[in-house]
Order: sequence, then C-alpha cells, then structure tokens
Amino acid sequence: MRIFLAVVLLAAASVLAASDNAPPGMSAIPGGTYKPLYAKQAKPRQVQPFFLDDIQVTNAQFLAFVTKYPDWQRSRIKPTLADKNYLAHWRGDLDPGDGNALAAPVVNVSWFAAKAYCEAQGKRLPTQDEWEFVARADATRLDASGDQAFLQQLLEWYSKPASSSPSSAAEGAKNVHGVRGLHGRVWEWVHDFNSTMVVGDSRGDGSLERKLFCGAGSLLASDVSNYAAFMRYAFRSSLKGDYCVASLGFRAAKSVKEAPPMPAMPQFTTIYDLPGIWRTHEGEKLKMEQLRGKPRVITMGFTSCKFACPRIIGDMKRIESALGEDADKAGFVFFSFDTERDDPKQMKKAATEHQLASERWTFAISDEETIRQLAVALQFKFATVEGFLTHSNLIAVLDADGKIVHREEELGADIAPTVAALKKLLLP
Amino acid sequence: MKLTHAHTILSALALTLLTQCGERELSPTEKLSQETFMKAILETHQSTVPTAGPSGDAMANPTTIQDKPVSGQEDAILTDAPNVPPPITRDHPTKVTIKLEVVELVKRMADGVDYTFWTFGGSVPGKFMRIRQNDEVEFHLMNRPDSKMPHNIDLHAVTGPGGGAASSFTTPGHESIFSFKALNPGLYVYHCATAPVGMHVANGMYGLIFVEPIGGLPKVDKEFYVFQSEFYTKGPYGEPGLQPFNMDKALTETPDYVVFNGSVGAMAGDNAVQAKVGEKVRLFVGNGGPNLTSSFHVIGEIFDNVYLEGGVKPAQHQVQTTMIPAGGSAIVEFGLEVPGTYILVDHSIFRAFNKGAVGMIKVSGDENKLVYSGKQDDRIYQLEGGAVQSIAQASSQQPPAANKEERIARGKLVYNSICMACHQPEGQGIPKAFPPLAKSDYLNADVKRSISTVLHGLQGNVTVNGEVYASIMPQLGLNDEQVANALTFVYNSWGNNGTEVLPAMVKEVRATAPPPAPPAH
Repeated sequence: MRIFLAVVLLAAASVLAASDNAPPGMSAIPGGTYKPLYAKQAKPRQVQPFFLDDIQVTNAQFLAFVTKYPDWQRSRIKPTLADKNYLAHWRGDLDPGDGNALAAPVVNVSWFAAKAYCEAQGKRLPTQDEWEFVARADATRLDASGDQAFLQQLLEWYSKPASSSPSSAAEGAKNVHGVRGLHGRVWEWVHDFNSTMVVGDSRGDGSLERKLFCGAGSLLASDVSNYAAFMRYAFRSSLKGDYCVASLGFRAAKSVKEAPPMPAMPQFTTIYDLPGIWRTHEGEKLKMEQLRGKPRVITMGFTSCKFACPRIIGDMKRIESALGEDADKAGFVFFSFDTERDDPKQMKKAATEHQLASERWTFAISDEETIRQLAVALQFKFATVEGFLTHSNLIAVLDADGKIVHREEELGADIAPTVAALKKLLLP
Repeated sequence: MKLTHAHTILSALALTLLTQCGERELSPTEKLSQETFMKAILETHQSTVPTAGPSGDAMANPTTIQDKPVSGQEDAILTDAPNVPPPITRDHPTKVTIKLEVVELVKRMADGVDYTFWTFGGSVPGKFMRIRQNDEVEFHLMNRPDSKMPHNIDLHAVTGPGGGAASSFTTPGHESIFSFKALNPGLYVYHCATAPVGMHVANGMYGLIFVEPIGGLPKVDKEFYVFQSEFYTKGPYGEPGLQPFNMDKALTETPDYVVFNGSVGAMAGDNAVQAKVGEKVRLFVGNGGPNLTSSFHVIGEIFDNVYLEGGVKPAQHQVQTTMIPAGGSAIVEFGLEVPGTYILVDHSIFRAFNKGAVGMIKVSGDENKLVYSGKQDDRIYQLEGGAVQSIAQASSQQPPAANKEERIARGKLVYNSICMACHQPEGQGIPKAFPPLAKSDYLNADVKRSISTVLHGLQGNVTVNGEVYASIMPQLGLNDEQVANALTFVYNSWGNNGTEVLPAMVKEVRATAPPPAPPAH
C-alpha cells in the first residue's frame, strides 16, 4: 500500500513538474501509448512527453512572422513552397484583415510555411502520433475515443462546410490537457502528414491511397467505426507539402528534452537547394547542391526492401542501358529513408549486389529531418510501422538544376516516357 | 403497353410459334397478321429489335463492335434531377470534357428539417451526365475551397482500378483531372469513395452517368432522372432543425429518410414531373443506398420495358416492380394511357409512407374509360345471412360499476374505443352518414329503443333531430354491463337527459326479440 501510494505521488509530482516546465502558451502533454487508426496488427505506439501550443497559430502571430521574414510574404514566396492559395484570405502581404481576423487561426498556409513558422519560434510541428494522442482527450478524460457520443460530436463538426470566418482561436473548447480547439475549428498540419495511409507494404500497388477508398479503407483500421479518425487520416492523405487549404491551419509543438536548434526552413527552388548532410555508399559526405550539373534519375526507398525497391532499381537499370553511351552523362541516385538499417556499408553491399556501375550510381542516407523534408518536396510518402517500412513508388527525372521534369509513380510502368524525358535533357 | 395491340400480339405470337415449329404454311391473311405483329412489337417494344446499333451477343463484349473513329470535342451537358440531358445524336465518338464541382452545403431534407449535404454539383443526387460509347472523357473534379473534406469520384462506368477514385482524390481548393474511355454502354452510378466511404455516400455523394450505346436507345417522348437514397439522422423522421449524420443508424441500416432525388417531396406535389396521355416515358433510375435495395414501383403503371440493372437491352417486359441494388440502376419505360397522378414508390412500403420514398408523375390528357373507368358505383356490402354485421368483442371480466359516476367513467372508455369512430368525439356524428348522439331526440325519447339499437344494431332509415340517416349500425357484441355503461355515458353527456342505464334494463331488452327490419326501399 505504501509503495502504491508512493508511486501515485511520484506520478502526480512528475505531471506537475512537467506542467510547471511548460513554456508560456503551451501545455505539457504526459507521454503514453496509443493505437493509431491504421495499424490493426501494430502494437500501441509510444508517445514521449512533449509540449503543445494551447491554441492554433493565429493570423496575428503569422503576421508577425512574415513581417520578420519577408521571404514568406504572399507576394514573395517561392512557388515550390506554397500554392496559389497561400494566405489567400489576407487583404495584402501584411494585412490579414480586421480585428476579428487577427485572433482567428491562420489558414491557407503550406506545410513548408507552417514548419518555417515553428522553427522561427524554436519549436516544431507535432508528429501525427503526438497530435492523435492528444486528440483522444475530451474535457475530462485522457482518452474519450471509445465514447460514441464524443465521436458523434466530432463527426458533426467534420460534416459541416468550413466557416468563412473562423472565430478566435482562443475560443476553442479546452481538453483535459489544457489544449484548446483541437477539434471543431480548422484542420491542423502535422510534421509527418506524408506518412498517412502507408500501412503494409506497397505490394506493387502504385497508389497507396487506394486503402483510403471503398471497402479497402477499413481493412487495416484498428477501429473501423471510428469515422472521425478516418476522416482526419483521409484529409491528411489528400495533402501535399505546398497545399494551402482554407480549412487547414496548424499549431506548434516542442520536445521536453532540449533539441539542437533546427536549421531555418530554407527558401528552395529545387530540391538541390535543400539543406542537410547526406552520407553516400562510399562513406562520403554529400550535400544536395553537389548533385547539380547533370541530369539525374532519382528514387527513394530502402535497400533491404524485398519488393518494390528492387523493381524500381531494375527499372532504373533498364533506363540506364536504354541511354547507351549517353548513360555516362547522367546520374542515378537512390535516397534511403531507412535510418535504422541503411548505412554506407549496407548501401555499398546493395550497390554491389545490384551490379551498379558505381561512377554513375549514388546511394545516400541522412537524418530523419533531412529525409522528411526531401520526401515532402518530392511528394513522396513513407512510414514506419513496427519496423515495417512502407512507401510510395517514385522514379523522377531531374534536370541539371534539380528541377523535376518527369515523374513516374506506377510500379512496373513503361520506361519509355522516362527515357524520352531524359534523352531530351541530354540533347547537345 | 398499348392495349389496342395486345390481342394482335397474342394471336400473332401463337402463329409465329406454330410456324417456327414448321408444322404448316401460313395463309396470306395469317402472314399479314404476322407482319402486323412484328409492327406492333416494333411500335410498343421498339428496343426488342433495335433499329440501329448492335444487339444480342455483341453486347457481351462491346469493345468488339465496329464504330467510327473518335473525332471532335465537346463539353458534356450536365443536369440536375429530374432532368436528363438530351439524347446524343452523334454517329461517332468524340472527346468529351466533364467538369464536376464538389460542394458541401446545408439544404432542406424535409419541411423544417435541414441536413449538411456533400454534393456533386450542389444538389442531391449529383449531376446527370450523358456520353456515348467510345467517347474519350477528360474528367475534372473540382473541390471548392470552403469544403471541409477531400473528395474523389468512383464512376462505375470507368474501366480501371478504383473507377477513377485514386486519380480524382482532391483536397479542398484543388482540381483533379483524369481521362477514361467509355468502353461499356449502360446506366452507371457514380459516388465518392473517400474514406470513410459510407459517410461520404450517406451525405449525398452520388449520381448517374449514362453511356449511350452506339445507335442510342429507341426514341421516347419524355426522360426523367430519378435517384433513390437514404439518410441517417440524429433525430427521428421529421424532427425539425439541422440534423447531423448518425453513425449508429447507418451501421444498423435503419434510416430515418428514404427519398427520391435527395429530399422528401423533391419529386412530389408541386415538384411532380409532368407528362401527357399518349406519351412514352423513360425513367433513368439509380439507387445510391448507402444500404438499402429498392423495390422500385410506379403505382398504376406497368413497365413495358425494364433494362435490368442499367444494361442497354430490355431484359423483361410487363414488370410491376423492379429491384434496384444499392450502387445500381435500372432503366424503365412505359406508355401513358390514362390521365392522373402516378406515384413512384419504394414498394418496401413503410419507406414510402413513413420515410419519404414517394415521387409523382402528373399525366394530363383525355380520359380513356375503357382502359380505366374510375369509380362507377359505391354500394353497401353485406355478408350473406345476416342483415346486420356483428363485431365480436371480448367479454369484460370487470366487476359491475358501483355507482353512476363509475358507470359514466367506464362508459366513456367503451364509447371512445368503439362508438367514437362513427359518432365522433363530441357525439356530433357525421352529416348524412352517422346520426348525432349529442342533444339527440331519438335517444332521449326512448331508452329501451336506444338499448335495443346498441344490442341488435340498426338498418334502414332513422330520423334524428329532423335529419334522415340511411346507414347501418352494426351489432356490437357488448355485454350488458358495457352497454349500460356506454349508454349512461352518452345520456349524461352533450346535453342529453341524464338517464342512468342499468345492466338489468339491458338484460330485459336483450330477452325481447329485435324489432323487425323496416321494409326495403
């Protein structure tokens, strides 16, 4: 009994301590486990303690950000970073509208812009696991996701068309963590939105989103009656990094453990502008910018993949031989996202096994953040479930500046259009 | 089907069968009769022998049918129910552009009841699209910026994985484009297939696309778009206000609303579709479900042709009710012979009368009394042997009433359950049908006569308060106590004289023979 009491006290104390530590405007979220919707066979996932913004980022806050960082203003932003709807509801570069608008959550922001905002505050976007973990809570319970009334309430909100003028972000309902307006306001970006829906190997099915459609959508779900969660995953799955949507905003998160400061989100025109250090199968350091200068065929995957990646490498080899002597003028890059298994040694082994002419081929691996950024920029999806890697299929042709001139997303597709796109770049 | 042809068809059919068996030669008049038969068939069932286009087994693989090359370009005409775009008269396939906008909006479900519909084109059902076999379609799906959800479209007319679903998955504020070739003719349902697909369908995301076969369907006078679907709302049928989707009811498949064309009354009353006597009507009928199969029926009509399950060959003639699965369709055709209102129902009939599955076709034109006379007479029907009907009543086991007050109270119950139906809540009766019991001179003049009337019934003229009534009072099968109570209640209500009728009095009257029936007149 005494031991039990002590444990309870200790637990209470640690929660209190966490709350005390929370930066202003943020709530401390105790860690725990939860079962994501799309992981029927998966064990519950672990969420570490973290801090989350109490309210969604407002137009006023975003105004301060674009004032300080003019590159993110509406008239200046690069088209790679946000589509034409970026801040479309604002009256001007530095004019979000009247006082009501200032307090409302900012919407029409791309993932890149949301990420840049967070990083400017020394924060980051929450992960999908973190967001969903907090989203299970209602006003009194840490996990209300088994309560049909709670889910029905969410469905009712999701069903309604987006309001043209969302009210103040501070008016959102407060959950037991102290976080307001997670539901019932606007959708929110998560850091790894492009991992949504990728559960189970891609199995030769080029369109991972297939699982979102018709009956197949329910096959892998852990709770097929949780339509509210289905809708959130479906929404995320429909996004790309540059999308700006009228009902989509964001809030920032922060790790409890002080993380090294993130490099500021770069202004990139092509993926060769992206920061980060990669390591090749030869053990050399590689920056994206070093890849400039010749056309390249690139893909993302992991070398221990037994299904899709070998086929993609096979396709790339056939593209290589279709070029004949011109193959020397092109490069072939395999970007791995398997940070656990792929290192220079493993990648070298794969290159040897596939008998790839090493002067033309490059295998590269980096840290999670750098990889995620490249994947979003390439509109590539991947996720890790129970050490099981899943991903979309991509063969892209890049010109000497890194601009994507052709992309093939279907596994086993005819290589002719890809070869043609490449040959066009190789014309003298 | 036109009745004037019926006899000709039947006799000629017999002849044809005989000839086919090779039993005898046809005489010239019989040959003529057979020709008349074929003509009749062509007129009434034009599609049995299509005047143009492929038939029979060729349809088993429509891609083998010879067609002209694709040429030209056009934008598809899209219509809202109950309208259908005009038939396609082109003799060649073309490149067609279809632009469909997804709109989430609040609209009327029934009077006083609103619902947040997700729509293809702003209405439920979605736009009707009409293209031709072998057309090459460039499909644009636009999702409005104020939509909350991503959406896509699965067209059952598309040959290819997902029916276009993956290719058309569209975030709010975006537009997706994909192309397909319409290899198979037929009437196809389309719907949103974004997870959770059930909810997207339950909120109204469906419609019909008709891929016209080469040569088209036989000409008709009127074509209409009818689409059945059901809705699952938080409140029961008719509960006013904005009603949210209810997950439990959708899972247990117990809808509150089953409707044609998206809302209660969308095709009834002032919204009924119009046609004329002599016209041939074609209905393109779809069923979006999400759960229920429709027993589609038009009250007062018989379908001359049913293109079962939305195929392009009439599979059956003379059909009363055709079954349309969720995510399926049918084309039905019928001629209009008699004016009046024809009611479309799901003949799973509680859906029609309690959940809204009613539509109407109002047909104007001249009466045809031979085909349908209307009501010619209204007369009393009596069982043989007894002039007066007897309504069996369970005998009461209750102890007798202790006093007048209790007798009145119990009598009221008897009155309300048995007498009130004819004599009305305040004893006022119904003019020319049922005499009044309020301030009734007939009652107050003679208690024994009243008791006898209740016990034995009454037939023939009776004069009450100066009015003559000619209907029948049935024998009610009440026991002495019940008769006493009921009459005491009546005598002590509505200005009558306050008599208390005792069971003993009833017993005494029962013992005497009923009065002879008045002479027939």
